[in-house]
Parts: sequence; structure tokens; C-alpha cells
Amino acid sequence: MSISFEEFIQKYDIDNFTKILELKGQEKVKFYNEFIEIIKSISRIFDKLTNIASIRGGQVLMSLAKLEKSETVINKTDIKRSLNIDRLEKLLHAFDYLEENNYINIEKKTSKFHVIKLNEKDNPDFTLFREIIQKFWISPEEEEARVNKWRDQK
Amino acid sequence: MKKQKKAFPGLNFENEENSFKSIEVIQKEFFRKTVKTVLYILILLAIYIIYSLITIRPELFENTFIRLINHSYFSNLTIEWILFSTTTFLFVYFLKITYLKYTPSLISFIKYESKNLGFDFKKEFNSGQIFLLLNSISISILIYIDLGWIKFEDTLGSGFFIFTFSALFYDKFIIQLKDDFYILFNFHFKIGKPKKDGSNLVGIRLTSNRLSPKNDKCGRIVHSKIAKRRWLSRRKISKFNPYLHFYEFSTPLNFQKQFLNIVLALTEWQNYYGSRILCFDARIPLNKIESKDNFLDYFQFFSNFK
Repeated sequence: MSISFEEFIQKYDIDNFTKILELKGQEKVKFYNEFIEIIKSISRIFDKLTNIASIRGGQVLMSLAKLEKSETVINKTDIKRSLNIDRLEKLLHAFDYLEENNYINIEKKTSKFHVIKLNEKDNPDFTLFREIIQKFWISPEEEEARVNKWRDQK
Repeated sequence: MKKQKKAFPGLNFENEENSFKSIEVIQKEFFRKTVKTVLYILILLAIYIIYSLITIRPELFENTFIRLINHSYFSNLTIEWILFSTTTFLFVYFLKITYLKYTPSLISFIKYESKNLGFDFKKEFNSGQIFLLLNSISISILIYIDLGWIKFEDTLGSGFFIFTFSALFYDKFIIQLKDDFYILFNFHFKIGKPKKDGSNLVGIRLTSNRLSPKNDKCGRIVHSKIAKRRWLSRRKISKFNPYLHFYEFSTPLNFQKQFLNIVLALTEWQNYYGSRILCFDARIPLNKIESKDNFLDYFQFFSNFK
């Protein structure tokens, strides 16, 4: 079962601060089970990320998850830019590894233009992963922009 | 600032094989530099010993060309000072390079990576150049003394000669972020033969500028909150250091990410140090500060900072 963080928040109106969250009986058990399911899913995400053999693999997955929020078509260069990596060669091993392990799908439109997507179908935990990353993770590109903005302030 | 990106042909840490090769390059450079310094020290020591023998026991050189030279040429302050100061400088320099461990390729690597982020990595002064400059002044004064043109009886003035060694305290590698903020670099790697198991990890220690005195409670609270949130290294350089700093540790592979992390910690420091929101409890003893009733949620503060 793939669990969604957003659905969980909405289902119990957790972000509604005008309403009291009151859970009784079966509903409380259900809430607890779903909450535990989210934690378990996060634990599996940790396990998956820490076992990716390619050095940049985890970063590529995070960048891809983040970009899926704003872009409909994502290619390798978008990920390179988001991770602030100077050369695409540094990421090629990661793309190959992630594709081989079914973490991502690569659609080759032309010899140079490859569209990349997170493989949520085979990895249901990626739904929660994507939601968390899109909500809380700051990419190196964004961090760099933030740092440069601060530096340029008098 | 416009980025200048070009292919960097030097070190590569993208996979195990290239990392191993890169570590080998760094270690070779370090070894070459150390051997060169030791060689200079040995040559200078040999000259020093010969010079001491000539001045103390000149009869040992009775049958050599040295006896043809007027003895007064040897016994003067200038030569003694040149030998003493240069040997001392080289010896301390040797100790320093074995501790600081910077090599040309590692410096180029960091320079390139920081340039990609739009920052200039630079060496703040060069101890060799400063030493040459200060020592030239010292030698000029000594020549005048030896020639009898000036008399030097002021003991306070001798402080200048000791000041020559202050050059040894330079050779700092920094990135200046803003007028009041900078990051200081120290390099770390094992000197032994490179191992395939990765235990020869090349490390870069990043230290921020002084933030506030340690006895400033507000500073300690803000520092602690930022350091915990950003997983900054809690390593203490010295218990006797009276100032707070941020510390971060990176490898060449994650240098950019870790560098940005410590810089963002500084941006947060600038925003929150002294702010009444985080420091309103600074008068309460630190061991009681964690009480949730008296302290607002940290995440709330930082979520506003985007």
C-alpha cells in the first residue's frame, strides 16, 4: 500500500487549526496505523537511499522528485543543473544504476534527449518520498541562489 | 557574479578508482613538498654547523682555503641571523605543512569547486613572502649594525627580530563571504600508502569566523540551535578558545553541499543572533532553557526564513 502524506493531512484535517482533532475508538486506531505506516515507509526510503551503490544516486533521486513538482518533462541536464554539478559525466553512472534497479524510467526521445521519471509504480514508497522532498528539501541550486542573495545584500 | 565554468583536469572523486588515483596524487605531492623542506633544513643545518666550527674552532680549518679569508668576515650578526632565522622558519614551516596538509592539486580542486558556486578561494598571505620581506628588513638593520653605522642598545627594538617569525602564522586558506563573514579551510588525509578500503579519506575542515564570545548566552542558544538543525560538526578545536564558531566537515565529493550548509548556517546566524525572538530567555541559566513553556518552537522561526 502506498501512503500519501498529503492525503493523511487532509483526511484528518490536521492542518485545520480552527477545528479540534478528536479521535475515538476505531478512528484512533486507524489514525495510529496510518501514522505508523508513514514512519515505516520513511524507514524503507532511508534503507533504499543508503543502499544505492552509485555515489550520486541518492542525490539524483531527490532532484528528480523535486523537479517533478514544477516540470512535466525532465531530462538529465535539468537534474545536473538542480544538483549544481558541473559535468553530466559525473551523473551518468548514477542514471545507469537507477535505471537498472528500476528506480527510474528513462524514455529515449532522441539520442541526446532522454526524459526521466521516478518509477513510482514499482516503488510505492516513492509517493511519500516525492511528497516529502517537494515539501521540505532544498536543492543545491536553490541553496546556492539563497547564499548568493545573502552575500549580495549590504 | 558570473560563473566561469571550465573542465577541471585534476582530481576526480566520482568513483572508487578515480578517488584512489586522486589520493595517490595528493599524497605524492605532499611527500615531495615535505622532502624538499627537510632537504633545505638539512642543508642549512650543515652550513650552520660548519659556520659554528669556523667561528668557535678556526684551527680545524688550518689547511683549507677558509684560513685565507679574514676571520672578521665570519663573526658578524648578519650571517648568524640569516642562518638562525631561516633554519627556524623552515623547521616551523615543516611542522606546519605536516599539520595543515595542503597540496597544489587539492587547492586547485577546491578553487574550482568554489568558483562553480561563485566564490573565490584564496590563500590569505603567503608566509614565505612575508618572511622574506620582514627578514630583508632585519638583515638590512643588522648590516648597518655590523658596519657600525648604527648602535643598537635598545632591548625593546630587538622585538622586531622576533616579529619576523610572525610570518609563520599566515598561510590561511579562506573564502571571504561578506565583510564580517568568512570560512577557513584545513585539509586532512593520512600520509600512509593509499588503501582501497577508503580509509585514506581526504577531508576538508571548514571553520567559520568568530561568531560571539562563549559566555554570551544568546550567542550560545542561537549557535546550538543552528548547529543541531544543520547537523554541523560539534568538534571543539580548543576548550580554551573563548569564541563560538561553526564547524563543518566535508570530503571532496560533497564539498559543495557541506560548504553551502555552513554558509546557510551563517545566514541564519546573521538573521537570528540578537533577535529578541530567540534570545528573550538568555537570562535564564542554560540548563533550564529547554523548557518548552519558555521557548518557542525552533522550526517555526526557521520556516519563516526562506
